Amino acid sequence: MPDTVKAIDTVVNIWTPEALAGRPDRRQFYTGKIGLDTGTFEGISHEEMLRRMDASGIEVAFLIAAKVGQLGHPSCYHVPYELVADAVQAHPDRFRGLAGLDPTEGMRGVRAFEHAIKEYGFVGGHFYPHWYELGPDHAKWYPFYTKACELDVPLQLQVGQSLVYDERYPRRSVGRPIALDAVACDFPELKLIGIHVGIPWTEEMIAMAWKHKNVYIGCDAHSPKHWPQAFVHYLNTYGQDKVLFGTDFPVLGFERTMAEIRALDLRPGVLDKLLRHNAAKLYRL
Amino acid sequence: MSDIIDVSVNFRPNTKVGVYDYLRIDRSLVKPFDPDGYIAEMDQAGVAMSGLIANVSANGIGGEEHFVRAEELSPFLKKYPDRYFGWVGINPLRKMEMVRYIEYAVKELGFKGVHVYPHWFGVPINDRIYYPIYAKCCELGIPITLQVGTHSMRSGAKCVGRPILLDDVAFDFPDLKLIGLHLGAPWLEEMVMLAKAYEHVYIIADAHPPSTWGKPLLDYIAERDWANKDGSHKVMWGTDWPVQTVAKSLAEVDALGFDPEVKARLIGGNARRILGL
Repeated sequence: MPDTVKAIDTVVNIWTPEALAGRPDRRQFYTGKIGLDTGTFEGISHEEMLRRMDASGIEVAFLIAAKVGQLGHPSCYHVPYELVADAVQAHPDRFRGLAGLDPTEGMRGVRAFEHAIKEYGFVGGHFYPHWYELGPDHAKWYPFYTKACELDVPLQLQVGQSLVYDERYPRRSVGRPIALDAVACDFPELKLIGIHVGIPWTEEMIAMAWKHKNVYIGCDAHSPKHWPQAFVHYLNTYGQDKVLFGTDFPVLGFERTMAEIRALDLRPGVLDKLLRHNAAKLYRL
Repeated sequence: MSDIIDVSVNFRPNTKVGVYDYLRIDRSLVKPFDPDGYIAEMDQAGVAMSGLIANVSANGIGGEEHFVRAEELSPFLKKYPDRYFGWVGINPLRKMEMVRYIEYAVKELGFKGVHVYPHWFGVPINDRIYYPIYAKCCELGIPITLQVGTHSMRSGAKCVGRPILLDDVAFDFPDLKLIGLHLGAPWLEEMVMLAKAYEHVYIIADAHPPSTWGKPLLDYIAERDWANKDGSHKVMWGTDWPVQTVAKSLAEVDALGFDPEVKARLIGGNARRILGL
């Protein structure tokens, strides 16, 4: 293991067989489009996840209790917050919780979010604009932004393209990074992380992170060896304090992602910030 | 003591706006609200309680802000807790600052609801910038009232509050007590439709002399049309002092000839129930 800091993976899907049970079938997406091996696709224990993290130099993973679309459609599901809370409780030094958000839940969802932060000790929120076809600047997200400001916790959201995760429920890509401009202007104190880089609007995402003090970028879900040149330059230079490490496991595996990041041969100090310090500071770990 | 409640009284009206010229109101006659003296006027007219508004406006959109702070008004709420209750006015453009201010005014100073004059700020009332305000009202379990319908004439404001815009808000916040202020004129039918459609949408009938209230509103209050089962329970009378005054306004309500129970709800009972007074 190279001599670097222990990493914090800020974007990880809880992936135990228990968590996967009863979910809509995504085999085609994960094993086809993403190329995930069948064994991992079927689910891994927390112990196996921790073993893989250890082998890759990752100390902490943020587990997402994702809310994936509005309940009622067979392609949509919500990971119960309690499932992530249990994992965090079992491995408090290795896992942290992120609360998924569904804007169609309105105040009920806002109250559940507050409960997750205050009672379960989750460190922030997470949402997928495209699963609701409601862009980040849509009014229905604003009560959640309000609550995140009040609780002073960061929110991460997928920006850039979304894919067809389930052919029964194709969704449009509504999370263009420029949509964060309105949000950041309306809530200057809100800490926002555009995850999945922002591809194919990487430069738009960089513009947002450069413009707004509290807007950050998550580097997850896209293999580092394919990262756009503009993004590598940003995180290696003037954006070195604004990019957070993540994998979006199981979309990317821990070991290969870490190896590819190390192969980028970043400037001295930048790698440590990317892998750990930026996340530790933003999430106050 | 009667059970008459005037739900809307402006604490310190903004006399800089141009509507005073248009309506030919002599500004020197518009005295600052005198909370001690006004009790006598309420007594004379048989009014039990008045809702004082820490009103916020601007001298036209983007113009000088006229912001009556909650602290200015709260001594009188404390001094006459049985006679006055407070509406905390806001400027929606100030976003999170207002969210925190509302929480403070309600929790620390005992204000009963939020009050907005949207047309001075130029943003439609179903816009995203209002959603933090609505969310906070839900959380605190307090009502919000917004002026709907026409805005002040010749004052640099614009109409951003057609009643129908409340449809989005009522849909997205089904538990929020959402109150259309100033009848919704000239779109009374729109306002009445919303009050029928949503359990927690209400109307404050103020600012316009009762003698001029339109038929859709009168029919709704009296529950005259067939698809109307709750109108007598959902409208609250007010003056919008100094725009209307209590004795004259109450005399005009009398002349409308509502059944006694209906009238009693309109001029007090509904306010007590809906606003939790």
